Amino acid sequence: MPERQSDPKRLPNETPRPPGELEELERVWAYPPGWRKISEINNSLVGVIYIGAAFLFFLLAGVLALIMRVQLSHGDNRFIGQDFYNQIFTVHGTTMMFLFAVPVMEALSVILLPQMLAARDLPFPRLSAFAVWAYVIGGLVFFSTIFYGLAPSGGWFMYPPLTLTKFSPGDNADFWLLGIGFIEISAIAGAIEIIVGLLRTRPPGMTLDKMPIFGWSMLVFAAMIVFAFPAVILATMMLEIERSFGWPFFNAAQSGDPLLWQHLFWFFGHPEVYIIFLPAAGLVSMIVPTMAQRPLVGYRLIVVALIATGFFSFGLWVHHMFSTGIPALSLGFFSAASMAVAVPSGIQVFSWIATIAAARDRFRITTPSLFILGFLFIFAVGGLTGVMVAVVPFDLQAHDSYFIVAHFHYVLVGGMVFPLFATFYYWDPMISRNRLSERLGRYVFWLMFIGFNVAFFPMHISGLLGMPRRVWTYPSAMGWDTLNMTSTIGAFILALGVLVFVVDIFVRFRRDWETQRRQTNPWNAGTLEWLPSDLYSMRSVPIVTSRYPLWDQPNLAEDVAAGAYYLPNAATGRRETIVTSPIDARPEYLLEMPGPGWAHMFSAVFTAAFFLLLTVKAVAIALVCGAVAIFATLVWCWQLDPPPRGRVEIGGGISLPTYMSGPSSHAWWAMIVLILVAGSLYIAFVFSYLYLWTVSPGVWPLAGSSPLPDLRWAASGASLMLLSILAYGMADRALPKPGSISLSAALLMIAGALCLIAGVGIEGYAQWRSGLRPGENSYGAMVYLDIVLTGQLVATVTLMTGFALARLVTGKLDAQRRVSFESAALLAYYTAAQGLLGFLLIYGFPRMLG
Amino acid sequence: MSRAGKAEHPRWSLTTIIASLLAGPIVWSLHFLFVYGGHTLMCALGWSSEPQIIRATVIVAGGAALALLVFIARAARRWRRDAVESDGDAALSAEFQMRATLLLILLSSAGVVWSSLAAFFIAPCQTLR
Ligand code: HEM
Ligand SMILES: [Cu+2]
Repeated sequence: MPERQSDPKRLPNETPRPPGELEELERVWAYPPGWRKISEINNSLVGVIYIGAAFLFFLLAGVLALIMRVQLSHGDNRFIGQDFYNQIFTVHGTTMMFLFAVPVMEALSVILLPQMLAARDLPFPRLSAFAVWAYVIGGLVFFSTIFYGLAPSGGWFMYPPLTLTKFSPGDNADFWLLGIGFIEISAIAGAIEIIVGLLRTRPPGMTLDKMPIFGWSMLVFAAMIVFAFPAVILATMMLEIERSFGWPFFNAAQSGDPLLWQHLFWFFGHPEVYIIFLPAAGLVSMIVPTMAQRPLVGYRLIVVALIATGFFSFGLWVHHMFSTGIPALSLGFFSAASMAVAVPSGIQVFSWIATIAAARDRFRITTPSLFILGFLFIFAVGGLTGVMVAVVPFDLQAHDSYFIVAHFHYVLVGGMVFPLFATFYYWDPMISRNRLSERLGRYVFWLMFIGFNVAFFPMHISGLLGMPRRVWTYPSAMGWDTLNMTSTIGAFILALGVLVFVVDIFVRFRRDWETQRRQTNPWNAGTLEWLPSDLYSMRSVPIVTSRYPLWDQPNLAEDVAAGAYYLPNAATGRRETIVTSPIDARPEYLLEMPGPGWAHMFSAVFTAAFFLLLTVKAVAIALVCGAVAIFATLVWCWQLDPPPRGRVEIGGGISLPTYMSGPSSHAWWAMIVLILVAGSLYIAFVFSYLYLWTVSPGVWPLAGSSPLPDLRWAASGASLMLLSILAYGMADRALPKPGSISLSAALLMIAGALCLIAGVGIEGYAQWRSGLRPGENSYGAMVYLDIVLTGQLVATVTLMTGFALARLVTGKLDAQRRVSFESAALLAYYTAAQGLLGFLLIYGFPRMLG
Repeated sequence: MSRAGKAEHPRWSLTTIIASLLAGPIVWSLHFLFVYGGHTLMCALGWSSEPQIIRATVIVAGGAALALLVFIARAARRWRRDAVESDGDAALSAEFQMRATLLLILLSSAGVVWSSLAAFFIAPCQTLR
């Protein structure tokens, strides 16, 4: 591995650069012309579409909020009907949480991170493009159900039994499950991109402790998605299976338990709140130092606070279930954790205040700083009421009242919408030719700030006076009219503020798609995203020696723009970026990136069509679309894993390989993240299995279930799993030398996949033969769910293995160029391990009970 | 680690970094899982007639978790001393690393103590309704 440049004053490359180099770079990174731009995958373009879509959903959900406020403005109002009201609060909540708050943060990160890391792009641009299109299509369809009376009405957390077919007939609830499915996919794709990007595409010298705080917050954000989203993925799967096929997971009459949904949902749902808040906090930690013109006070403390918040937030889920009859001592544990999580948030707030107080000269009052001060105020109020509702007796009073509505809007709007607007004003000059108007910005801020407080503060009081949430109207005699009218007026003032902002965007936001001309560092900030840049990101990739390189490394901008740092050209003649080691960021290899294309787009469109058509039960066309989606995905993947192109010079005497496989490659890392997702999903399953057992711990399998199959079945299934591990391991050894084809490798791969298929097949057969049926009771449902979960992994592995086989026969897979095999094998190992665990659980646990 | 001379300072692998940073929070979450799951389980299995046993279990678990945290903290301190003796960038990172680890252990300990306190005030297995 090459040594890092020890003397940062000696620049790696000589200037001036040879003629034609810049033109080449521009040619390689140019967007396709005209309407074909939509086939572009560069995050600098896709990110803008992404953020635009997310903001559109904010506006749409905001309009729904206004309709609700009009309806609630005075008692006995008949402006809209009850069922419609139920639909709009559900769609408002769902859209805000799933289609706006999480995606907007991912959108910001794909725009900002490549710039902050001075990378040409993040490692998987086509994956993000796919995720964005799936999200845009799925989201729009989900939202449009409101126009046809097809929208779900069970609230954004969709509790069964209300959402079971018996009480929610029709497709409405299925649309919720569908919309959420898309968000799950795109959130996880985004998380992979962010984790691998942050750990592997930092510029040379940017050790972990020099990474911008926004990077840290996105790292924690993505890790939280990896561990939290699987719980809700499992829950939505279970609910959809129960609705479509009647497997009783949640139906108490068949020994299911509706509370299981609440556990799974909130195990995701509470961390979700922090998934939304942490990135916003990271943004604040970037803006405050600039406005104070000094480094952030307590960088390390903030990193600690981010990690601690990420962890503690998983210990809070039951505080949404205080009134469900869980034993008081358990509530005590969750209450304690809810208080504990306030400490790291407090640490961050104090760090920001300290930075503001320590400002060089004076803290600059700009529109972004106003939004940050507004955020500090509103978020503090929301935090205080949060500590209040973490106290169990108080919560029993306030539960499901407008006090809660006030609390979570203070946290969500204060904690993420205000920082987001600060972000818009602060980073707008980075992507637009003009700046948003500072003068109008003040109006936007004051309208939003005053409007917000006028709208939501009275809700604390109406809640304490007893007004329940989710009521479409109330008798005037209750005496809540004035408070509600005030809230409604406030909501409109807030909306006016947003409107002024939208107008300003239309008037002033101008993005130069061809050259990405933009302002350079108008705020005199210290971090890399303010280096001069173009479509190819920075001209050359700097060596970073401080947390605020633009402040501490003189001449950095000029030298970077002149190409004096690493990789001032398109070294391979294609799109590429430097991959560095995860901790101390030493250049390791050059990652060749994909360019514009259509396969990912087809894949997204037809995946969306597949699920949509399934939802409306047009099964035949759905299957066709599903097949097209798979085909498009295969075409897309076929272009991955390009052939090695030898080593190239990036300057400073460093030459890097252009191909990497094994544990240092970005593909390996992505696979590991994906396996973590699958693992968390399985842990959620094991939890559910054990949970349903505790509901009736006396008899397991439940009374009336067929007896457990003989242990011999488990033994043969488990042996097959072990054999498949062996087969993939041997196939790995047997991969041929470049230019030849190996029959044994092919046969071993086939054998490995067949063993996996036989392993799950045997388990299914054994259970079926014993007479157990999934629709019988919750025990049967769980046993078959295990088979479904492992079965879908086996299907994926089989597909990937077939793909690797095709590459083997076409000479695109060998002992050197081997990434497509490695990915399949990694997933196969994991699948076998999960299968083994499944046998242990399904056969071992009931026997252990005796 | 102190073997490492000037030329070859200790390299932190990503796994070490993650493991040490997350040691505190992981102990906290295991403890949390144990007391929450254990309590639910013991109640479901009908041990509610023996509240003292449940209470003692929770308190002992808290004590054990705290002891473990203290142990890890001491190991981390020792580790840092070794790393700081070597020079250069690695030492800087190690310093950062270990301080963050210690702070996280401190926060986790607070979490453990708070959870355990509940057992002193609230009777096991009773619901509020
Ligand atoms: C912009 C101004 C906003 C207004 C005027 C507003 C207003 C409302 C109203 C009137 C309700 C229904 C309360 C009920 O009937 O129980 C509600 C519910 C909700 N809002 Fe908002 N909201 C706003 C912004 C947001 C934002 C930014 C988020 C999240 C990021 C959000 C998340 C929610 C959620 C999760 C619910 C609960 C839905 C449910 O009960 O299922 N809101 N909001
Ligand atoms: Cu919560």
